[in-house]
Amino acid sequence: MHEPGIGDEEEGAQPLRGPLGQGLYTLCKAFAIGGGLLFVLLVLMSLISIVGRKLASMPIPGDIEIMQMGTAVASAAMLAYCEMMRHHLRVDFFTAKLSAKNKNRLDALSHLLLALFSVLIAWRTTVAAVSLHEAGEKSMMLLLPVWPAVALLVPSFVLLAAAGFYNMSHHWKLSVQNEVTV
Amino acid sequence: MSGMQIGLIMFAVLMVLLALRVHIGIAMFMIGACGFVIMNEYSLMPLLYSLKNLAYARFSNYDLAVIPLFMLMGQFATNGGLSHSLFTCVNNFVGHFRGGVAMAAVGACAAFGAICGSSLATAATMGQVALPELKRYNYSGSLATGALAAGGTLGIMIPPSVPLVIYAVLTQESIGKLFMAAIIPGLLAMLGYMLVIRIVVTLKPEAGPAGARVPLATSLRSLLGVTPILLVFVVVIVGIYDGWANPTEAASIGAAACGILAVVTGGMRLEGVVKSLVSTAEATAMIFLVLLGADMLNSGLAVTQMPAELAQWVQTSGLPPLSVIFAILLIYIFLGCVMDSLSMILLTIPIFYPIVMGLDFWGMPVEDKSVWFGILALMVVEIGLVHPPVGMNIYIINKIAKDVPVMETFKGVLPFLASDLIRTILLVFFPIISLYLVHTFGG
Repeated sequence: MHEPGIGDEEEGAQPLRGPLGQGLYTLCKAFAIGGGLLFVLLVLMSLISIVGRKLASMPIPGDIEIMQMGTAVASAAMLAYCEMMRHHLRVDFFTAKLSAKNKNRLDALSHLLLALFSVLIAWRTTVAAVSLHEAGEKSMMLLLPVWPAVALLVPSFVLLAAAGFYNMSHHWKLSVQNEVTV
Repeated sequence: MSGMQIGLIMFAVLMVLLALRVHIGIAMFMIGACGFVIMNEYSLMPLLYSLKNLAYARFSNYDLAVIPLFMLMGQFATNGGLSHSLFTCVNNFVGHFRGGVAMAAVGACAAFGAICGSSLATAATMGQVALPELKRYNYSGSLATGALAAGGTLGIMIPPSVPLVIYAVLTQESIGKLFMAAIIPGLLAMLGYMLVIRIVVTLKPEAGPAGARVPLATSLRSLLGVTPILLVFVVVIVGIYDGWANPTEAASIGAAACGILAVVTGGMRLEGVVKSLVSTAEATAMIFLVLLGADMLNSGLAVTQMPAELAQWVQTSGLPPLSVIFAILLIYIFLGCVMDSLSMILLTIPIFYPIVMGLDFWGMPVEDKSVWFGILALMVVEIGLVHPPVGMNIYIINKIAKDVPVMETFKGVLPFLASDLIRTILLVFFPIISLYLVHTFGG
């Protein structure tokens, strides 16, 4: 299991960012903390539900549904921060001996792919939310409309895409700079 | 081209993408999507249609909610300084033996592993607590760092364990059963590591001198101090297994309990809470991005029928089941050279699981076989954390130790690897080690 912030030598220290990068970083971190807080709320809901069920045979109705919707929204909100820190998992064993320039080129490409993936998912998830809205799909227990939970994933994937594009340009600039200095 | 061929090509291209530093989740996604399109006669529409649901369906999976909750629990334990009281307590009891402080480090890792589902977090927090003590007693650098790097793996071997949750979700296995089954092998791992320390200090007494003896009253008082932590473990595991709480609820209880303990006994304040949330976010994001990719890869592979055909082929090939299982374990050890444990599980279980289920091992019924293989897979993917060249635990401990050369740590970890290998072989030949608790406590 990988854990954040440790053991990632080459990218451990955060590079200086311009105002754009700093703003993006702050936004991503806010999303991450927001996701974490949502999980704390879900924990509380779970506890109340268990206690209610055990003591009074009165669980929170639809607690499973709330947990599902909450988990989806909260965990998606966490993705962008991890990308901003460049901690998403990858294999760097085979490229360990490459020159910094070539590594930066490959990294620019990999972050571009990640960004394109996020754009694709954001687009398809938007389409899903719209069609769920039109169909008026409701959850089984609480009869809550499903589309808002789906729609709330979209900003997280847009932010993930933004972080990916930012990292791509960062690595691309580095690879060009290296060319000048070498 | 047959589905089997396409499936094999997919894997080959995947390996190339991974080698070129493409993020693991993204590479899996791309390959899965390509396979899906090819198998649907190069039509994009089925792919676009299935993508609509990909993110929400995966992220709203009720069982997977366990992962961020266990992460949160472990982070509260880490930032609340619970590792400190655990180490002190174990050290009070075993520290005065020769090599005792290192044994205490391993024991404390095991105890911390009982409330934390991650190896690296266990290695990192225990390293910070135990390394200064080991240094104070003049333990050799290789023994101190080796014991902690190996001890860190107890974080995932002793439940709760994130790789087991993933295995359970992939194979429709019960999380509670798997957690129950992991307890004895996890304790066995701890005892094995302690035995290794014992052997090392018998051969080289100067490597691990005895620590100070502590009055029994002090020891017992420190035991009282950590009782709540152990209670959390018991509630979580028994809750899941007994069925009065499902895994997600049990993880919620655990997270809440660790959060309260961290605030009350560990003095965690707002800063610690924010740190816990941010670290949880990062660890969760890493896993969930790979999960998304693995989902697509598995849909792509499923339409090629490759996993089923491969399993069929192995079954009819007349290969002895034991050599198949050892080949699988070897593949894990090699993959562990370049990949993290979670990506390995996500990548391989859809292929290996049907193969293993189709073979006969001592006439084990299917439900036993599935639990047994889960524990085996957990044990071998964990080995990747402590062997070169990736060995994440080694680097983490080495970074904390500062004055120990990394080669010393690699050398120090070798005897512990030997114990891992012996334990893995025992688990292959004696499935009862994993299955005993499952059989004893329930249907």
